[in-house]
Amino acid sequence: MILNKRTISPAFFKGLLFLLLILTVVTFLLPVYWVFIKAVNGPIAIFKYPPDLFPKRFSLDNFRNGFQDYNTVVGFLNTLKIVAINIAGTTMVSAIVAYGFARMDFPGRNIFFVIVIASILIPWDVKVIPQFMEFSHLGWTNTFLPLIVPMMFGFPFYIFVFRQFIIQIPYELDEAGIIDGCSRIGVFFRILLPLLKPPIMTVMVYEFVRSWNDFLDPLIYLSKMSKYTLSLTIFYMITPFMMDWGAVMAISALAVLFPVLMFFLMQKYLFGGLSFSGLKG
Amino acid sequence: MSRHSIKSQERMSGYLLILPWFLGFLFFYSGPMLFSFIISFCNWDYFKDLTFIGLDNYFRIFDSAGHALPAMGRTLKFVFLEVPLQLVISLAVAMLLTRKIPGTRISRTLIYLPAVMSGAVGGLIWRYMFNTQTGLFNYLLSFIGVGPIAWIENPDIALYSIVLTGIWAIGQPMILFIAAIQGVPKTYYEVAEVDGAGKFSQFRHITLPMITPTILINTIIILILQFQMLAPIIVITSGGPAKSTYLYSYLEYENAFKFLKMGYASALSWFMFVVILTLTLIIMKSSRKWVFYQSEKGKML
Repeated sequence: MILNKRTISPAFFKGLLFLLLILTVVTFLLPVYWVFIKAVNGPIAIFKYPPDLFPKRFSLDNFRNGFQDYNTVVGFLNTLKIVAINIAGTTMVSAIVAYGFARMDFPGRNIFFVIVIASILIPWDVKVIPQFMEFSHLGWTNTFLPLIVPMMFGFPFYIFVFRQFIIQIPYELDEAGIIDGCSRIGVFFRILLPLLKPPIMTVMVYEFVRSWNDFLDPLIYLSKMSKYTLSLTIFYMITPFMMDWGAVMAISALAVLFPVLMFFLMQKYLFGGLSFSGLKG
Repeated sequence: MSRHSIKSQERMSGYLLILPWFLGFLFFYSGPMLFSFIISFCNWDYFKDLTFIGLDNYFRIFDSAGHALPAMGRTLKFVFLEVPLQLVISLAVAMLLTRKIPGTRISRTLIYLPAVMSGAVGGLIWRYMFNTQTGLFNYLLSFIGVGPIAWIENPDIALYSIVLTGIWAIGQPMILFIAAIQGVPKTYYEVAEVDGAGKFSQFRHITLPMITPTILINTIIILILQFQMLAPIIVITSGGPAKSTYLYSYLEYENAFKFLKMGYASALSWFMFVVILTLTLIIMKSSRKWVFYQSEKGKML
């Protein structure tokens, strides 16, 4: 960045930056690009050397193998089921809890909220072992309950996101509702909820990506093939006895496609969402 | 309605509204964690009776002939490589994306994309690209006459290859940096421009101090995430070759879910928690010296 202004014109400097930008994007996109290319390039291209950086043929055989030889459809349906329930449940509960933290005045509120923040930071390793003991004691292994039930009590990070948004909404709106005879919960549903569209969208996208991609929890709790999620299906495709990397790439491409589409459609909420969460300090 | 009853009514609704979270915290966080703390002083194979063995599980962690200390050593090495790398690269990319050049909005989304791949998918793709004979990386390196490198087969290299994969997943810290950089008031730069400060000096004396709160938050988040980094190890190397990528989180995972040594695994997870907590507190404490807040209100919450 130490560039002498007299020798380099601003336009040239801008061009240089633009070039750097393209290079950065190409570098970062490499893994994603490679999945999609290898998915549509047919089984013979998988271990071809040198590899074609730009695909020369188009074939859907990898997809056919991926769906025929593995339990892919079941994996898709299981994942969809979990994702749908989690998005609906955790978004609503997190918003309601956040409303309590943002608008009600009660003893211990600040301490409880500090605990919410602290539990965002509890490492997965630390809580997964105790949770595993609890859930397997309850007989929840090989069910989706360990992946769903904890989310139905609100998720600390989402509570935080909603709370930061609600405290920016003028309290006069609540007061007006109360004067008009709304109950506290009525104020939430009639007055605040319509204003919460941005954080709702943010949380829904986050939860979609989180649930859709969740790999370690299914790995621990689900061992029956009929219960595999998409991540597990893909993970178990590679075994010492069977290695159809073409099928892996095809199903991986589909698994990546949904979050990618979601990102493009929702980028406004996603990137806006983090700036209002107060994390910018 | 009297003023008093409105107050107590509000108190009641407050507790009712946060009740779901509180129950969840009780049942899924604090309760099980308390239980695992107790179990960490016991021998429990999950199927057999549990026996109280005092501090034996913790002694086993610190046994110089055991697996736990070398694994923690590898994890610390990994974390101390990954955290600065992710911080510097995400900040550099965020700086680039906040310049007035065309295409920054779409680039922001594109650069984020590798972070939305699941652990399983991401791990398998890396494994495929790391292939020594036919992988993409060695092919690209062959153009500049380097390699072939045995990315995940050479015990001296494998851990660094895992570090490398983490660099692609900087979407989250990058977004926070972008928001922070955009939050710096334009007038500061205008004044600096008038005073004849160069671009580098503006970065050093305006941007950098103004975004220190975000640097702090990103450091802590990345640190915590990297300590528990597990999926790529499971998918790419399974701790090998020659235990070179046998990180602490993988040791925990094996003991808990493969060997079902619940007592020992609980002790392992509590030791990890203490290490992470200590490092986080040290960083927080040091932040008083290097983090610049515009107002008192900006602190943490």
